[in-house]
Amino acid sequence: MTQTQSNRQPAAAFQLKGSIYTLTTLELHSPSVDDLAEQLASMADKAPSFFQQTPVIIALDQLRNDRAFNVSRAKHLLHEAGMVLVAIRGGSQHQKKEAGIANIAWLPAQKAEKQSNVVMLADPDKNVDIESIDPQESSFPKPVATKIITTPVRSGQQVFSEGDLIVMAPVSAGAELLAGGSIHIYGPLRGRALAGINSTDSDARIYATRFEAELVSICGQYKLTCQPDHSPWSELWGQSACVMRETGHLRIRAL
Amino acid sequence: MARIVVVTSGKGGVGKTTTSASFATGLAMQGHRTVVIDFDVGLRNLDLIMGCERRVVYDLINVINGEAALHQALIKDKHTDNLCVLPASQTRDKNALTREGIEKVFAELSEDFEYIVCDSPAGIEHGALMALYFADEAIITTNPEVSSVRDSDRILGILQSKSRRAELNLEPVKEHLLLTRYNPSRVDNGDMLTVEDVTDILAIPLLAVIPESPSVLKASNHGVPVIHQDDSDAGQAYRDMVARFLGAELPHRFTEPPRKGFLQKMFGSRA
Ligand SMILES: Nc1ncnc2c1ncn2[C@@H]1O[C@H](COP(=O)(O)OP(=O)(O)OP(=O)(O)O)[C@@H](O)[C@H]1O
Ligand SMILES: [Mg+2]
Repeated sequence: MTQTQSNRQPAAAFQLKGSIYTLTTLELHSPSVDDLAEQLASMADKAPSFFQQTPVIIALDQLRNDRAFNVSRAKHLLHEAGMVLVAIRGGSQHQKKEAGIANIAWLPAQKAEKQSNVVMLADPDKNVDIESIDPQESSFPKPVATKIITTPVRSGQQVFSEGDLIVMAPVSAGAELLAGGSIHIYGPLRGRALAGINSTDSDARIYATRFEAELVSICGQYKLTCQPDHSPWSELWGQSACVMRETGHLRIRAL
Repeated sequence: MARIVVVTSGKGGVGKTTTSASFATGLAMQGHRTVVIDFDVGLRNLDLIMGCERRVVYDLINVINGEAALHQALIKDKHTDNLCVLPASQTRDKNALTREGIEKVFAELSEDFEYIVCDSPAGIEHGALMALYFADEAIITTNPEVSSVRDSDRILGILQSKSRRAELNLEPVKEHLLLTRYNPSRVDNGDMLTVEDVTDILAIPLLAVIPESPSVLKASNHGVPVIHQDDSDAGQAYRDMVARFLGAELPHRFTEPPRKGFLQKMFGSRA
């Protein structure tokens, strides 16, 4: 009996997992904490509950003289505005030590090179030899297929696309669109549209040339849009609009 | 092969049977050999509207089950040449309607008729699915109200996915919108949807607008389809519907409220 007990593996209390999150970053252009306080106050006036319990990072990469920046005071200031300072990014060894004292994490400065969708060729004179491209052996990652629908999506119907979904017809109330990627509707969207369904963090968006949706969702975050209120959601009702996810919130913009 | 036209709606009581009777009569009046079939097993009333209820001996299910020959069940219409009625059974189980059975009956009817008009039961259950399965064209019968429009939308989705044409990847079922029981005064008051509202949501071509009219009830009490009533607005609207279905281009009528006369203006229109 003792033997079985000593042989039993204790159940793991936790498992380490790497996860990727989008965090709000305050990129400082001035080391003065007073300047920071002023701008935060004006933001809080406009949207009082906007930053409730939002984890944020302060980036010092852009600062020339970061010694003047006081980590503990900044942490306190953000706390008062409802935000939780979880780390500082970049800065000198001094700042790294300060972060340790304030009990927050330190992250290395980000690489200077900007990410871009448009990539310049290394040697502009030497274009890729078109004939040599073999689609079977291309080193480009295979794109996930885009689905294109050209007939109306009716009440009770559901359309699923692993990648992007393009609908060139009306989407009725009671119909549902699901896509791993973005959803584009060239016509009225009156039903439900759920984009980025397989991920918790993607740049998926929902575009409609006439926005009258019952529900929109990106990465599991959703919004019911039928209740009239005075938000941009009501103002853009019936208009051409784009829904996106920003700092953990769904936003709508005119197209 | 005969052209198979289903009159369907999803929602009940919108005017499918009224429409089937007048539409089939109209096609026959234009010289097309037409049969109209009641698919509403258990609640048959096409025979009442057509005024042939006393002549029903055999029905669609008897023919499917081989208990009667087709010619024994078909009833020749008294008012119109070229027109026959195939009634539904009032008693039998709806599941007696089988796809194979219907296909056989349609094949036999195709030898004698140009148009097969199917009066669908309400709902999206077995009976409605059987009525629309073989359709080449569909008359989407809709009232100007939100629930009816939503059900029509649902039926359009079913036509696109569960009809024979959808299953075999043939040319899709041709869809026509029939807006009926349209009351322009109530539309003006905002009680009902406008023609534009409905066509905007359903996004299919408008075949006709049939006005709400007391002549419909009068006609069905007499067992004579309202299209025979020359002086009735609904009768004229059904004639326009048939003409457009057969290719004529006519402007839509009966979409505006009647203009009030001088006395009505003075004393109100509630008299
Ligand atoms: N244009 C009209 N004006 C006035 N009354 C109408 C009109 N069309 C239909 N009706 C009335 O509406 C009622 C329902 O009509 P009908 O039986 O044709 O509908 P249905 O769609 O076949 O119903 P069900 O779903 O029960 O089969 C009847 O009382 C009929 O007289
Ligand atoms: Mg009926």
